[in-house]
Amino acid sequence: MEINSIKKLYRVVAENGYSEFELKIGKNNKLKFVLDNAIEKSDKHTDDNKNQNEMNSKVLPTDKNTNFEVFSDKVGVYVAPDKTINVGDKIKKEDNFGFVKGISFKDPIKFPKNGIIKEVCVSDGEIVDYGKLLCILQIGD
Amino acid sequence: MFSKILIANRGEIAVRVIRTCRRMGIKTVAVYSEADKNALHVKMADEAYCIGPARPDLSYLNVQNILSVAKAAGAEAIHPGYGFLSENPAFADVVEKCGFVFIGPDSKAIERMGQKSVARDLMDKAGVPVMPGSQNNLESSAEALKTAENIGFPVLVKATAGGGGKGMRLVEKKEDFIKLFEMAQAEAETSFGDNRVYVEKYMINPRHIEIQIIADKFGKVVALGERECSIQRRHQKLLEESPSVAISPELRKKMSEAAILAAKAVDYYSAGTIEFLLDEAGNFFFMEMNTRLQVEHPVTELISGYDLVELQLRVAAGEHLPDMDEIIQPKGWAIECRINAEDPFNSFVPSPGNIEQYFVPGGPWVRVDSACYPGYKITPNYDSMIAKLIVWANTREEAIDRMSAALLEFEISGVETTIPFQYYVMSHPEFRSGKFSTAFVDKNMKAFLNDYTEK
Repeated sequence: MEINSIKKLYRVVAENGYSEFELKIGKNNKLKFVLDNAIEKSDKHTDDNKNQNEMNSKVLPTDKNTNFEVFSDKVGVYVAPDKTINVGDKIKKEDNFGFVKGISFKDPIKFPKNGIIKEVCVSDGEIVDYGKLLCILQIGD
Repeated sequence: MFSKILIANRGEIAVRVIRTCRRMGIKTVAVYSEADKNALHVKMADEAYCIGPARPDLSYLNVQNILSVAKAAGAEAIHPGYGFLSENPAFADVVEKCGFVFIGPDSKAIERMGQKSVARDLMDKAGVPVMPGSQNNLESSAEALKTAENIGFPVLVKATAGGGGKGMRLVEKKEDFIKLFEMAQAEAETSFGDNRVYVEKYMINPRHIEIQIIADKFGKVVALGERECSIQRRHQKLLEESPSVAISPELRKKMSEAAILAAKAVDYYSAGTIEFLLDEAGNFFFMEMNTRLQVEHPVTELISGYDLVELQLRVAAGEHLPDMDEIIQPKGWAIECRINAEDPFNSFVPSPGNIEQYFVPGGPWVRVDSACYPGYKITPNYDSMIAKLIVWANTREEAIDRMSAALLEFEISGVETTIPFQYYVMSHPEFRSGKFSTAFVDKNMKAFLNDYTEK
């Protein structure tokens, strides 16, 4: 493989947030490349080992009480819980935040942590797509 | 007619479908992966929803998420585009079962034509000329070798579930057969999850000619002319034209009649393409049927005057085809170049990256189908297409000149493109004379590289 092709491959790998790759040379040999300062992948969602009911979350260390943004990894229509969730409500991990209704499923949404509702970002009947911000929790002290 | 449809695809074909829908007053719902959040089809659609991360299997192949959006958004029908789920019979079936209209053929037609050896057998029974080959899939190499000997070498071992050249091996000599047969089976298993293969006579330096058909749900099938697709590299088309210099009016009639017969044999409706191989003596043989709209459909639109996406929508909505001749005669000449983000000086290796400058050509009868714009990022997650550049003219010579000028005018920086090679083809005497075959690219690659090195 020519050096320019390796450089291009390096760039593509780095841009996609990976930190290493291997090239197979011939039948038995492999060459491993470990990237310096790989670009951090801003991917909110990893699909490995994810409980399908667990919301994705992102920590925003903007102030003393840390905020979590929680996102949907489901696609469908949001159905709010029977008991309305309001800003200021204290919630516990695994409490119900309604569910997402898709073509062939109705998956409940559970809060991933204890906290206080800082903002509810979705309303009953709203279409929820992948990565939709559902709510912001204030956690910590 | 539908009031809202969902397009289960991305890139230029999604933009293409949106354009016709806009003209027809049909609202559009786009779906996109996280990697495509800034894509043009997302900006153009009336509504757009993210369906997953970049990986195709988690987004554009995620049937559950696509159908969930369709239901939530109130879409009545789904256009599958090309690639992805467009020739997946299970997808077509579940779309209909969920109460949507699939803008394409019936799932049974997709299934039958999707298995190459089954399709071959069906066509043979329907009276469509097929390449001499095995009647069924072959499992043992001994059985396959006997079949190959009966057909006569050279032969092709082809994957039943295959496409794009994968799971295919050319065997020129008997002594190489078993090894190559087993390699084809292994590649078919890896690429398609199905190791079934069959054997077919290999035609040396054929032309690849395909016939576009459109059919309604009432049994009317129309052939809209041929497309010449012989300029290919590793079974990937680089440019197409319509009509073909190799096709006389008499041969067009014969091939069109065969294509119509093929479509009727599987009760086909919607747009489809029947691919043939043509030898130097003018004999043609069925290769396969593509049960979807093809990348190169614009050349047919320009020589026929019909909007194929509009016809697909009308057929899907239950309308009759308009008053059309059964075999459409071409008007003028059209050529399409697929401009890909690939480096023709480096074995066409993909060249993803940020498009910096993007200045598209224009003028009379110059069409650009694209989803790119300055600043757009071509990712390695999907195909490397930048744009399709299509021209029309009264004669072939004028079309070639118009394409040459348009290629020179097309300015794209930030990524490598196939434009230098396509410009070379336009100026090549063999191409201009019309005397070429599917061997053209392999035959002239070295000369192309030397030509540019000297400059």
